[in-house]
Amino acid sequence: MRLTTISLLLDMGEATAMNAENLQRTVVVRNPQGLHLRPADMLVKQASRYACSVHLGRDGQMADCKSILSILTLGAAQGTELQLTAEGSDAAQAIQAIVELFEHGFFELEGTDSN
Amino acid sequence: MKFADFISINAIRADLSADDKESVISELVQSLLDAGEVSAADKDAIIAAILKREELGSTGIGRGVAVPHTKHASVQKLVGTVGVSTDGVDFNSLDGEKVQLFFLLVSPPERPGDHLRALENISRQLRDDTFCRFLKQSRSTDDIQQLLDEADNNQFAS
Repeated sequence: MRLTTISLLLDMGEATAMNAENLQRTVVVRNPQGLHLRPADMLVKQASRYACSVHLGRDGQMADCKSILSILTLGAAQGTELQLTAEGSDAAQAIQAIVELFEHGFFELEGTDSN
Repeated sequence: MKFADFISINAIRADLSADDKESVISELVQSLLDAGEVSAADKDAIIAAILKREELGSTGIGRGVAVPHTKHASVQKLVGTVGVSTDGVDFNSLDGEKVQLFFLLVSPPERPGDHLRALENISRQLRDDTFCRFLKQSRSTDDIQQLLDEADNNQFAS
């Protein structure tokens, strides 16, 4: 009888930890030109495909990934580390899509001159 | 970076007459030429480079604002100008709205940091509705210069 009670309590403890879709990742600006206008535009277009909120943080400053003006205020040059956070039901998919953009250097890592 | 670091006061235009994308870019580059910031020999090449950049995606970033720009080897430092169009210009903006405020930038190649800091400053100030509205209502170079000075003194955005 006493053993059953203890195992029930343990199960309840585990259940409450689930369900909160609030994810965070560190991303690095890899392309030489930094987060200028076109990468910022790509971020907005990608983030806007998801219902969740998406933010990029730097030194206590938070930018809304769905606003181009907000992203540009980060002034993030090559090598800058940013905290990517997403909150909402599709946060995992949003994080994955945006991490890919950073990992590919917004497709500016080689070749063509870009402004 | 402050506006005073890259906006050429003598190139500011409060009364743009151009009514399409190509002519407004031409008018703004001409203003930089008149202010002595770029040379006559480079004018056409700079205009062509800015138009080529626009083909990759409009620099009309919404809120009636565009930041046409290019790199060009003829400039030693980042130079820029501000233009206001009363009626607005169709610029294929990201939000489809006409553009009334133009920040045109020409930067030396190999100086992406300066370009980023200029964008950072412009975007930070433009997020303030009051600054954005006052700038669009400006009817003289003095009005614009005063607003830029006030922005540089942190009277708008935090």
